[in-house]
Amino acid sequence: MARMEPPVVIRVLAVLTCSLILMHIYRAKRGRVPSVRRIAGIDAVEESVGRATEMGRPVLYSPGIGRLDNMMTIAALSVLRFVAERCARFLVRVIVPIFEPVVVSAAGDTLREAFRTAGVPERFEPSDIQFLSKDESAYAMGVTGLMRSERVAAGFYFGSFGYESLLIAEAGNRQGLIQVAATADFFQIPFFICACDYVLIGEELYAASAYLSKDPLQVGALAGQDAAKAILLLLLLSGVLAAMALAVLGAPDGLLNPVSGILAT
Amino acid sequence: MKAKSLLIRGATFVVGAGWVLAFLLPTEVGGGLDRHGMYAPDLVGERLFYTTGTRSAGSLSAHKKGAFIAMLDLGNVSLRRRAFSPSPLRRDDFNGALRPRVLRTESGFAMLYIGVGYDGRNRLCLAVSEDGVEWQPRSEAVFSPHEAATVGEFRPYSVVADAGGFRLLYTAWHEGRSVILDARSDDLVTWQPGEGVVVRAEEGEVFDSLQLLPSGEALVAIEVGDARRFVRGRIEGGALVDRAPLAVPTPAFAKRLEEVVLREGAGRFRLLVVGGDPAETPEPRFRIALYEGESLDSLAPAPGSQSDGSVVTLGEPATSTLFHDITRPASDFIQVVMTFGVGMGLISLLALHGRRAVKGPRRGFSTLVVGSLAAMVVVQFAHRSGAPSPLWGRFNDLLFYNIQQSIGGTMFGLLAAYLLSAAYRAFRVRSFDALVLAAVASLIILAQVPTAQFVTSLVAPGAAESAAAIDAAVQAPRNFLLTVANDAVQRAVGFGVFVGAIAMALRVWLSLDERASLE
Repeated sequence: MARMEPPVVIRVLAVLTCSLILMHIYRAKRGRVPSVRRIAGIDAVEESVGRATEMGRPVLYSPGIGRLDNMMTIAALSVLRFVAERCARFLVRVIVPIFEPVVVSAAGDTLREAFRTAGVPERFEPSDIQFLSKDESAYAMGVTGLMRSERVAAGFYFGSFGYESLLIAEAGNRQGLIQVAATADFFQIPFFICACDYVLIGEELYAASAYLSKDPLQVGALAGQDAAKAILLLLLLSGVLAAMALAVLGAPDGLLNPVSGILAT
Repeated sequence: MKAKSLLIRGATFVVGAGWVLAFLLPTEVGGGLDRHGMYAPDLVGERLFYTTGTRSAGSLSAHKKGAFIAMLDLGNVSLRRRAFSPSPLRRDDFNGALRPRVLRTESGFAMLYIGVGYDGRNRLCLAVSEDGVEWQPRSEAVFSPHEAATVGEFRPYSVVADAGGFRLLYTAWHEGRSVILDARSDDLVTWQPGEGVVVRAEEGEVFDSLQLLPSGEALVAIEVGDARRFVRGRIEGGALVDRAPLAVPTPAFAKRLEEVVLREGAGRFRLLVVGGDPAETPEPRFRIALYEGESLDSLAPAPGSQSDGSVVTLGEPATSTLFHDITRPASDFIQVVMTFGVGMGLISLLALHGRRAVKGPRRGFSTLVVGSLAAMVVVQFAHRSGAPSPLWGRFNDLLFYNIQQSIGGTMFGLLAAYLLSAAYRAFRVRSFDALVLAAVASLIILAQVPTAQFVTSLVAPGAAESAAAIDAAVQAPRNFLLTVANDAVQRAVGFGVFVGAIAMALRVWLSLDERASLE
């Protein structure tokens, strides 16, 4: 049974984007590492961990409700490694409430590895990774309960979220947590902005681990992303200008149909 | 440790490469012209025009995207070719062309067909030909039924020469009832929708395909629930009267009949029957059979029919590429693993709270969690296995409907309160950005409802007209903010996320994050 093929233009764009990213990774590997602008939300991660250390309380890190095949969840786990590493250095507990059962083991490995890298593998506590529920309301209840019972100092919400974003972030706000959120779910961003201290919007979630690790290869990938976006922007602008020019010149409707047709094929 | 890491990175790369190639390469290679079957035919003389090129969705329902029209000469089956293909240069049929109806005209032939446009909508399109072999489609559709009436999906239609012009009949929905509407044209290019309903289906019936016969009768496929029957009748007074069921011969290949096309002329009836076998492997494909006779009661397979009754042997099926063969079962395997994950989560939950229930902080809470879980499992097993018991039913209702759902609903209800408090915080003007946000939000909120009219009705009822003008005036900025500014921002975030997700996938595939951690 055959399945629908992605449009040719999407394949070409995907190849082009990958090529640009790989090219920049190669350049970074050769020593030409681009600089990354400061992202306040990511800098706040350090600040939050510092606050938790001063208060002697744990931090809570939610990797969202996405499955392991969700890029946001993978990005969230990638950031978790660095957050956990910093926490481990200052002997701060990291509590990771989980929505998707398969993420339990991935988060466990990430946390274990972070504590090992920080040189305190014995401080790793498997029970800090807690599967709560596969129901969004129940998950939100569980996270809120953990905030209260564990007297959490800082909350990190990285990944894919649904309506529970506000339930969690608002409850954290009421308890005075310093909160950093990052999601590419467009409709949850306003909720986080209202309730959190710092928010990473959209692609900043994917950039976070590169920014935190300062790894040349990851930073190179970031530069490749920007180059790909510049090309997309150029395509968009060309289309807008062409359509405007045709409208001003009084060209008949549908003159750009061949172009839009090819793009949709 | 290093060997293990290398193994993981190698496996990730190989598996990822399979998926990447499956994404980039065509999903199938080879196969004959009509490798996906033949359907929606028309017959003019010995020329059979039919639809093909669509991929099956696992049933006999063909997918319209990618469909094209082919032709076959029944007198010389080696003459079998594409009539024309959907083109990216034509906005109204570049997603697909199907369901041809061919008419003889003074200058040669005209073919009406359904074009699947840039927006996925079906429209009536036209192609012309001098010899019936080389076809020239027009660049734009000639009729868009959805602009004239509520058409579920413009698919079944019939065209006949009528009173010096042409008459189009098509199915639509009117006041919740399946109906047939019409349109007329003098030149097949400009169509005028008719006034009123031509035929209204009886309660519970749905018209699925139709054609007007030269005798003035209509042949209609009527669906009632899952059952489908073909009837002939006269259109009179907005109804199909004198209905008589059409006895459709069933060819050997057809486990299910899809449609019939009747052509009559020169004292001869010719019936095209389309059907297929939903269980056929590797994919179900439609076939066409042709029956001929001097009356509808004496129809026999046309000379040259294949042993299974079809007019011609279908082309070889296409073969999928190795990467698609691998990734499909792999995707299924991942789904299964994900399902087992629920069990894993349950074990994690029980292990954690089980330990705490015996020894640890908040023993009472953990005992309650373990107890509730055990109760839910026991009640579910008892309720769903064996004979129904009112006692277990009541327990089930208590646990799942009265407790679990109520608590979930309460949590969801809390969202409203949290929305208010979060909105209140957002509205507090602490910076210039917050001021802009508050101003924009106020404008949109006030423009959602006729605020000016409401306020005026309280303080100055006489000024209702001015208030209505104010309400109308604020609609323009509101619409601009919601549909232009907001849409642009959404797309900008979307583009960033699209590129970011690709970069993230590439990093995982090439184990860049792993490498960073190893160093």
